Amino acid sequence: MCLAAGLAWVALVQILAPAFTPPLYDGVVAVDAYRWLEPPPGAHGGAVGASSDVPVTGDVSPLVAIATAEQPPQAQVFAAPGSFVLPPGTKALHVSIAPIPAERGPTDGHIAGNVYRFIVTTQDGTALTAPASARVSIVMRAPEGVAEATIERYRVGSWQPLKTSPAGLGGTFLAIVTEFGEFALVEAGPPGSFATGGPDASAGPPGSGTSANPPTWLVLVAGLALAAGAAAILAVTLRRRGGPGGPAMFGADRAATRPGTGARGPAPRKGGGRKGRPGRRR
Amino acid sequence: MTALSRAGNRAAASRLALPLLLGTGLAGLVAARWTATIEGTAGGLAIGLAFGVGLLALALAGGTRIQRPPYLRSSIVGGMLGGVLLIALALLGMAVAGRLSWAGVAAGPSVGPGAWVAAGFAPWAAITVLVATAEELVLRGALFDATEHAWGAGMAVVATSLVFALIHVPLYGWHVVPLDLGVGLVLGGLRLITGGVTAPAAAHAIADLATWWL
Repeated sequence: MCLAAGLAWVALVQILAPAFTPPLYDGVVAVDAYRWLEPPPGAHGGAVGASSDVPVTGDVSPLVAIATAEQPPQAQVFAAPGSFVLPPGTKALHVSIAPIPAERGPTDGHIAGNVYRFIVTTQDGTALTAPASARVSIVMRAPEGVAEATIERYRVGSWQPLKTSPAGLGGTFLAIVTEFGEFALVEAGPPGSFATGGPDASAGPPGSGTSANPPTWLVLVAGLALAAGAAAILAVTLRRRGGPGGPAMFGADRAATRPGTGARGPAPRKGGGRKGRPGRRR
Repeated sequence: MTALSRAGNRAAASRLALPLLLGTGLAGLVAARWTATIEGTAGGLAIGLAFGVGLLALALAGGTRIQRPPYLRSSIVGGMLGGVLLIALALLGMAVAGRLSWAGVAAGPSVGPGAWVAAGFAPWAAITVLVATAEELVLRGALFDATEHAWGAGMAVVATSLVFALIHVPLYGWHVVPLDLGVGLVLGGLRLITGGVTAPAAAHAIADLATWWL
């Protein structure tokens, strides 16, 4: 019943609030430090773009999946096959993402990270559009420490917010677009410790956070110390109780059910078959 | 205070001790991993390896012991089936979101189509399996048993599902909590049915491995 309830719950969540990136329940995460076009003091520079020419077969636009080289990418564009409205004679799509300096800051916050120019054109430079139903999306990653941001598009001299969703790994955000151009992540409020790459820049060393946050090396050391201390206390405590009598690593040391029946038998435990609550000493 | 109430208090404290210690150790490891990840202290694989080893140590300290389960093959098959179901539900979500492209899935990782073998799949997969298995040893192993011992199987499933969801918040954000609560229930259900951690570990590992392609 628990299994069925869990599957039903997962299905419901996936339908009602589908993840725009694979639902990574867990996993090995490789996160490069944020690469700036105009790095603030102590931050990494070397922001790069990406580009590709994608051939068109027939009159249906192909799959477009371009991302910058960082891990995870700082800017990506994704369009399923058939997303774009192609003018007659289209033989290839030119897709590019490039970091650019910001001309102007937004009025509803500050730019978090780089401004990226997204271009999707035909081989002769005709800009392409997509209907909203095609769900063409751009994904942008914010610098470290940015938890909430909105993707905004720079158009006609001002920044315009788009409907933005979290996109998996913390600090990554997604927006559905119908046109391309210059996009940036905008964080509410004044700039924090991370300077933006544009005119809203304010200096601050990376990782320091606001003055209220502890240095991250301290968190790292404290976390490791906490884990080691807890493990040590656990080991000593269980040893003093005469052995763990605990769970098997890869199965049951108990009279478990036959697979498929769903019923559970009694659970005799090792260590003398001692039952009762943990901690009760003889 | 009578001897009986003192004994009752000690028993209550004792019931809390193991789960709290396990939770504390887990919190420490998660905080360390999060910090190392965002600071870029080391590569993702190295951080994952350290995290997995730390979880294994915590599981062993928490009483988990290695032994062959009576229904190993059935547990593995059940776990694989559970993992496939979780992947199917993920594909359902992507289809609903309009982001399911079989061409993209077949190409390999979301970046660098066609290069998944050359792109270091083997070490990534090994460490991913390590982390998934080690998490299950802690959550559906030591913590599940400690909680079940104290408060029963139902509470054990709920508690381990909650912890499972919470440990993913630092890296992924609060929006993953509803989904991971459900996944925790699925893995907890596998734990209840099979009586061990083989099935949830297999399901967890398969779901994680699938993200190379999704």
